[in-house]
Amino acid sequence: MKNQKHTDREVDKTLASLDGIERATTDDFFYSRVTARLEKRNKAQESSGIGVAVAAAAVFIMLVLNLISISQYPPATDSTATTRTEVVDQLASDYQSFDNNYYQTFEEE
Amino acid sequence: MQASKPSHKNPKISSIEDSEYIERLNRRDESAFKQLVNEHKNQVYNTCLGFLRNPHDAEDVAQEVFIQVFDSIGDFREDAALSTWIYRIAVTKSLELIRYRKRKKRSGFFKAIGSVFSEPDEQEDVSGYMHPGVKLENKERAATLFNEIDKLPERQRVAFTLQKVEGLSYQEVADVMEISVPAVESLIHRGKESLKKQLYNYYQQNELD
Repeated sequence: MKNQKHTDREVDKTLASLDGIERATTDDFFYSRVTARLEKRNKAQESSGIGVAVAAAAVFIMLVLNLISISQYPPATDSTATTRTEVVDQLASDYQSFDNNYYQTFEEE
Repeated sequence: MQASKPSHKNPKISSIEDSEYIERLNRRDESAFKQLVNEHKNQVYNTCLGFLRNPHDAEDVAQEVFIQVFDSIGDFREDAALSTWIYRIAVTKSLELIRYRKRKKRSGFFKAIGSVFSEPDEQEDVSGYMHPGVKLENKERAATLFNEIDKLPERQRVAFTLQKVEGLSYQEVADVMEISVPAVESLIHRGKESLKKQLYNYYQQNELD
């Protein structure tokens, strides 16, 4: 019982420990630090804006160069193939370096 | 950082808080912004310190508060007091940092992996930090109380901290939290009841130990 009363008193005292608390203050240079941080942020935003502009310009230049090359150099017309099968056959004969009949010829020998 | 005795209460800024002043802030007038920062810096710093209990974090968040004020003064509705709006930003930013720290704590595994590759975390242990405005004879008890306040539900903690640490009236707390005065009274009452129980357990346990 005595112990409980003691604990109750401690609890009440602790709850009242913030009574009369004074306001914590910052120093006189706080405003300077805020403005310095603002400037730093603005500079960072500016430089990132420049980066975006450079990237956009690079993409634009690439597009223009592509368009110029498409318009300046028309597609090759020396192909005689007219149907899809002919085109595939022509491509196969143009690029094939391996002889399909190699093993067959080998076995025959 | 020190503590100051005078005008612990919320500074009334009605003298400067008029449309013209807000208009100057909207125009990014440097002298108006300087006036605003100097009028409210201690209010913001003390509020942040009440939640974060770390002078570096409080300073950092207080700076962020003023940067947000600078950026979004155009969103300020003049139906609320400017100081109330600033308090709201300070509370929100402080709670954001606390939530961020809690999330970081939870992801301890990833943090441990990350720490291998990065600089050591600058986060300080706040359990030993004492608010500079607490009277010398109350420091130990106040440290215990602050630790228990941290365990309260968020809204109770906000109401209790604004009222006890920043010294706002129930009406001012209600304005900041955008709730009614009876709701604030209820939050603070429940907060005190919870604190009593927590402290009772704390002292019982300490005596047993």
